[in-house]
Amino acid sequence: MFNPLKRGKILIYSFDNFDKEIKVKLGFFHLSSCSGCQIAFLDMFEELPDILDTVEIAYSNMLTNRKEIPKLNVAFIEGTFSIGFKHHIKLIKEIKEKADIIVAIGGCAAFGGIRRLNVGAQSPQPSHQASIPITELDYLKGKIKYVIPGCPPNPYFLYKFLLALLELNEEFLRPFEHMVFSTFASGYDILMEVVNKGLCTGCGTCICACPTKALEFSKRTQRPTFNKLLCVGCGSCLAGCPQSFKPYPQPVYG
Amino acid sequence: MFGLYRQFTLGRYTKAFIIKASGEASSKNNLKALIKEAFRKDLIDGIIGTSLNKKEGFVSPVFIKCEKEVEKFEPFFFIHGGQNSLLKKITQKYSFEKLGVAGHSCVLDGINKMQYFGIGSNFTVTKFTLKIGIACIGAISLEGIKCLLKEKKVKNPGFNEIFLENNKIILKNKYEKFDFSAKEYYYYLNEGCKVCMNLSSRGSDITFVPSLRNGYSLVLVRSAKALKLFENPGFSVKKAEKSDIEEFESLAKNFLKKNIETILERAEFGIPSNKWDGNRFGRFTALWNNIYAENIEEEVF
Repeated sequence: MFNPLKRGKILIYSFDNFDKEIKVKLGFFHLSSCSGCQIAFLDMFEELPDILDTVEIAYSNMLTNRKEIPKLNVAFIEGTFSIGFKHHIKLIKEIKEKADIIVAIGGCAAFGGIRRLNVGAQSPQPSHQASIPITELDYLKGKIKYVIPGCPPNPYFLYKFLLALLELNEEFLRPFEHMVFSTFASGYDILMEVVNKGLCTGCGTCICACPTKALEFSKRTQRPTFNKLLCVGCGSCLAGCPQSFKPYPQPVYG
Repeated sequence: MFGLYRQFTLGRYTKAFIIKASGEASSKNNLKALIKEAFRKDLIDGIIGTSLNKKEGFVSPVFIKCEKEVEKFEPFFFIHGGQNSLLKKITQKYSFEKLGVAGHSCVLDGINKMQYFGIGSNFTVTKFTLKIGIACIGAISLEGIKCLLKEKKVKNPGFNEIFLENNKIILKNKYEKFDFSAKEYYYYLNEGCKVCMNLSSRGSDITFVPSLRNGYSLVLVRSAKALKLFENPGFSVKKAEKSDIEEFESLAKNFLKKNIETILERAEFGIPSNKWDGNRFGRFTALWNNIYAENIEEEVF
């Protein structure tokens, strides 16, 4: 292969370097959670070849072998933060320093999720006594730009989100920007924000979005019913409801 | 002060037809004929909809897997029946590649949102091939229907069909049919439907209007794919007359005006009205009053 450096010529720019430079560097970080979000992230890779030209997975404990966290453009964080766990403290500090923006992915990182039910001091990680969603950390205020709801979020949703992030599709990203300010989610959201405000039409989309069947459809009232015992607080139901936010364009057909 | 343009009330469509199925003349049979044609032309290999369970008197979602099963299908309009709740269940049980949907605008809104954002059913989101939108003047609860019939002093408030005829809402039971004016019907309407601006199911391939005029129902075709349904179909089809379209348009306008009043009331009390918050509401009122606005739908939605 032709190498201008070997012939004593001055290299201004090589295509190799150019290629690496323009790629958006992503990092994926795991705090206290089940890793389901990261699995969903890996599932997305069926679609990812479409955008691999512009994206580089710079750090992931499942996909890369790096020990040092490199400079990142976007850091995806899953799971809740445990203040008593030294590794989490170090990791959060490093991510804040090295990432341009942070995206809280999944119910745990965003709203506490199932970790809200944590009573602490449990095996196999007794050091994980506190479960704080990263959106509650003042330390990261301003750094967390988006929240992705779901338990886990759909791989298709992650793919669409990544596309929107690369294309800077503000219309798509806006609702998830607003969700940064929500620190709690549950099936009650759909009752409070949609049913109680007289906006429910009985389409059943929230039931389809719920990963745990905490929401079911009542044939008699034509409304969703909520079982709080099954809810993991992922925020999917309200995000999926067509009445909650509608900034999407109506599809135009040929 | 306000003008309601056809583009706003009916949305963009390329062709308008009136269709009539063979056999008993009813709007539900006309929809069934359309679905059968979609199966025959291999546009779909399964479709979700809502069906009336006459025994229990409930409307529940159904997944129709083949042309034969369409016979048992009992579409009942203006009750949504939690149609989208079925999506996850059918992916776990069945295999399909071309999924159709026959639903009202908010059911399609749920699916369109699912396709745009990807929240909801991951496995069905890429499988939708034909969206049959059902024009809807607003959904009503089962209790609402019973109350409507009680107003007419019907002793046995059983029902098996609902459709639009001569600007009236018709409820039919085994023996007789009852007609209700827009005002009577609007009283029992779902609160969520009183803020709807998409009565004609704009985000669909084809809009079926559950109307009945000499046994014919109006259909608005929006995509090239849906146009295939009308190439040598198994049902009677004619080009829609101006009066056919105007009949539904005037009823839709009537409901839209009432909905706008509700939206304004909600705004006054600071209660959200789905997509009509903040800037959107401002843009809507500005455009509403601008007679030169050419693309209202695009601007507002």
